[in-house]
Amino acid sequence: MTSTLSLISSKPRAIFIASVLVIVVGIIDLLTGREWHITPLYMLPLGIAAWGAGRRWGIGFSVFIAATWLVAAELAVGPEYSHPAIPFWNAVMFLVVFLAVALLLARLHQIMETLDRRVRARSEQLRIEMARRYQAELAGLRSERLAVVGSMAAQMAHEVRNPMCSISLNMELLSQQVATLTATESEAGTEATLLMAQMEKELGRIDHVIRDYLGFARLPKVMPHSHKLHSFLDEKLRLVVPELAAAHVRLATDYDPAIDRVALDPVQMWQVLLNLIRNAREAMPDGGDLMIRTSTHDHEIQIAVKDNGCGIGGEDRARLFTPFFTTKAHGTGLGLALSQQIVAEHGGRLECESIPRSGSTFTITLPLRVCPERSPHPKTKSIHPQPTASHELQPASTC
Amino acid sequence: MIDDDAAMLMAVSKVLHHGGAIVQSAASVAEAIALLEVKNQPFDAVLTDLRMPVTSGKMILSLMKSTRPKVPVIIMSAYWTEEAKAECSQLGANKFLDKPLHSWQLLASVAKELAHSPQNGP
Repeated sequence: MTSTLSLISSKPRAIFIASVLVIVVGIIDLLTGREWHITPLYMLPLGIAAWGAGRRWGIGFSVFIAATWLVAAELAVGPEYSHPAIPFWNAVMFLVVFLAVALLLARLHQIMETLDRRVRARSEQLRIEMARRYQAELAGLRSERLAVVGSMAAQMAHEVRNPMCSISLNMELLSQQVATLTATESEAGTEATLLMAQMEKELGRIDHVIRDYLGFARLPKVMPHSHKLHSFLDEKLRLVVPELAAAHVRLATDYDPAIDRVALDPVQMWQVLLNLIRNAREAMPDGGDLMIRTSTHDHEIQIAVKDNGCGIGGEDRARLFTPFFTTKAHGTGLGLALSQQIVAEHGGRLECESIPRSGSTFTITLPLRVCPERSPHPKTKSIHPQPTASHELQPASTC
Repeated sequence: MIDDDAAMLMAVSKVLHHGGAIVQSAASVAEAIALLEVKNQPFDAVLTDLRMPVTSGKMILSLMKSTRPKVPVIIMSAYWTEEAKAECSQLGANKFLDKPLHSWQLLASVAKELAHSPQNGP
């Protein structure tokens, strides 16, 4: 039944099938010489036309079929009627019946279609609602998990940092003792000093992991203030020039002169940039080029950090911002998740484009909005043309 | 120096001792109160851990600020919350130190607080 109805679901196909059937039934009607039991067969094309092509076509086919019946009647048995008006009268009677059937079927089809649309719309709403609830449930589970991580991190910070502190202080005392005992440069003394420096470094790593967890679980409130973006970038980037130079990474900037002041929390935004810069450096173990580019589009500014390193594969890229996901041997998997959280707190977004073996670009998009300045005499300019700045950065004298 | 962690207490005491200080250590707030009130010993500065079992470092802080307000109190903690910092500030804490810390940070902080202390003033 469903397949038959789907056959006439197309309007042109229904009209074509109905037309062919009217002609076929008309010919049969003519050839059988006016057999009354042939007449109900006209209902078939009428039903197809009314159901498949709608009310207007149903009315049209009612007239067409009545006319066909009349022509067949006239040609086959016309002279045998007791009165010449009888076939016309019969045709009119049939027309009335056909019209009633056609209108009824067309209306029925319309009701069915309306119901079908409603069911589809409700099903779609239900599907969206179920997907939304599933996502909310997942988000709830995730935030519950993160809350657990937060309290675990706080507890861990206390329980681990106390012994770390005493180890660190004792090691410093021990270093002094070793230095005194091996005042003359002996091989054993040098090795002991190196080993202790290594232990100190490892302690620093443990503290770094704890800080990452604490930072993620307890992000300080973002306090955006109006800052000259390019001055902020230049000032901060100078701090990383030595470490990039040591890794043979060339740092360059390409600033959009139309950008002047941007609302950002300098401490937290630098945390994001530093994280992206260090990730880029690690993606270029043999050195490479690192570009910091600023641009503006539709009341938004973008800061792009672009490297020509190893790039990130599709599956890893999809999970980049997921907490605890990492491809590094010693990573916590919280750096990018925390960065994304900070950028989101600024009302912006952090995105990544990457081509494996070609490099990656991480783009911070921030809304361009007026914010109070920290200075006692606030200025209120937001966009102000400046000379184009594209240059290699030199290390700050304080580094 | 007050800390319930024996290793921490020993390490800090030794660093301060190496820095030229005479250190009295207490493993709990009760022990510290005994030193402060019962024995009535003089102190130039008090260093205390914040989170300790039974009684926290805030207790010693308020006691010091009510009985010997001129003595600087340095609070150390492995985990600070904004609320804890605000509360300690209100109680009159002179300095907050994060654990872990380097010996030079510890010595520099103590020296600075002693230099600014009203009891060492003109």
